Amino acid sequence: MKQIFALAALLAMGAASTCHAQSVRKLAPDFAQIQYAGSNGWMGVGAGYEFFNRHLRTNLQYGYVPPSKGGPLHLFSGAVFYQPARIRAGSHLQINPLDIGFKGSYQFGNDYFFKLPSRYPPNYYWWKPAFRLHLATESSLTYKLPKTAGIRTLSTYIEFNTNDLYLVSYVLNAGSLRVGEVVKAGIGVRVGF
Amino acid sequence: MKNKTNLLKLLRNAKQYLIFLTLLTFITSCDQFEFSPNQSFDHSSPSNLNAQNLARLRQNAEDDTVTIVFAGDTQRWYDEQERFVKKVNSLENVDLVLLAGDISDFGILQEFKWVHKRLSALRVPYFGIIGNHDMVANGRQIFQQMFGPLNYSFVYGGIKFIAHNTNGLEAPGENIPDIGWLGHELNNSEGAKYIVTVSHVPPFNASEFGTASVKPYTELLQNTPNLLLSLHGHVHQHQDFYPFGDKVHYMTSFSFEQSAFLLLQIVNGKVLKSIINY
Repeated sequence: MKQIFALAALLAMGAASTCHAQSVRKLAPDFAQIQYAGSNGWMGVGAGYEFFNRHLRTNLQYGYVPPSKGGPLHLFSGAVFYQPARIRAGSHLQINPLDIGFKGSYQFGNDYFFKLPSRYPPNYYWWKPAFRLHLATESSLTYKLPKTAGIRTLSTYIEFNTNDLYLVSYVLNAGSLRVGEVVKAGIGVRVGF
Repeated sequence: MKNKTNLLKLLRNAKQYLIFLTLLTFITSCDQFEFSPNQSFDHSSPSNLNAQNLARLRQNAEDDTVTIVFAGDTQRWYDEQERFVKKVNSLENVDLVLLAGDISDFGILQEFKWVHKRLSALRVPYFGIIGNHDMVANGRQIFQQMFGPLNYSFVYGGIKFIAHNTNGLEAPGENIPDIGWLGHELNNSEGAKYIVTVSHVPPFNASEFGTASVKPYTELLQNTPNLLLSLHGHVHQHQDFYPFGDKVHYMTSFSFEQSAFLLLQIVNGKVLKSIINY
């Protein structure tokens, strides 16, 4: 009796795990990344998918700013990047000179409203402190690993971004605000599966 | 032979590693690396500006005239801030600048830094007062970190300046304005000859000030002897009047959008006002 149970359990587990493996393979992201700064956390971790022969890249990222770095803040962002060009440099290296994209980031916390609280007259504040829309670029260096390595690629990237509110400030003060004041950066490492 | 090549490789790697580390420290210490627009400080944001500026003010030789540049609502007008600084620096005998709130527009750290970067070129000390826009998002923490307490006072040239938070609509249920604190300050334990109060939202903008606070606040001011002025920003136009039918003299500042400020010269309790365009 005991043996039958053990066998059944083993079978069930086996079935579950293969099932799981299949769905995971289907849903498993194409890459995972870890990022420093980039207006989405002191450190952030994310993952995403690539489409159209990797010319389009989407990702979701969670970022955290600890109290010692001006937090505590929790952020969540979603991004879409278009990769117009890539340059092969040798058999293993690839350079992506300039990808361009959008990033929407959500700032968690009661101090950041998405909908203007009812105590204010309509349009008292026209923007949403909880949500920033970023315009971003990314340049990266990708190292292609051999097939046996288990992971496909390893990339390092530098991202530049500005957001809706910085842009508004810049456009209305182009004589005074400098580009360097409204463009912010981040760097990261991406692992492609 | 093999050991030698290995050693060379190792050295080369170490060199690369060192270059990488140097680059990383350079990169991470630069201002470009932002963690969030809402972070309350970064490695180069200043702190305790009001206290520092008070220390600078104390180095002045005080005479019988106190000359104040009164402005408010720097907000998103950076071009104007630069012209403002040039104009103020061209004036002689200015003691201090009072900036009556809405230093930022979106309550974001970068804005506070952009404004301070420009105003730090002033020859005279300036004092920041919190505005309603400075309380949006993480603004309150940013203001506190950069300028110091939201309610503060100091005596200079025989005048007690009482700067305080009157942005009641931003935080309903909180003690804004803090009537108890204000009453204590207006008691003038320092024995200053005159008093000037300065805050952002004026009490005649009742809903933004906090309707319930209007009466106790205005009564407090009414009952303060030697109160010369109640200064405010927020309305983006210059007003100079007695709106409550009492003896309290209310004055509001121009915003930076209007490229003008008020020069207040106070001599023996008399206020001489000039409007200065820039």
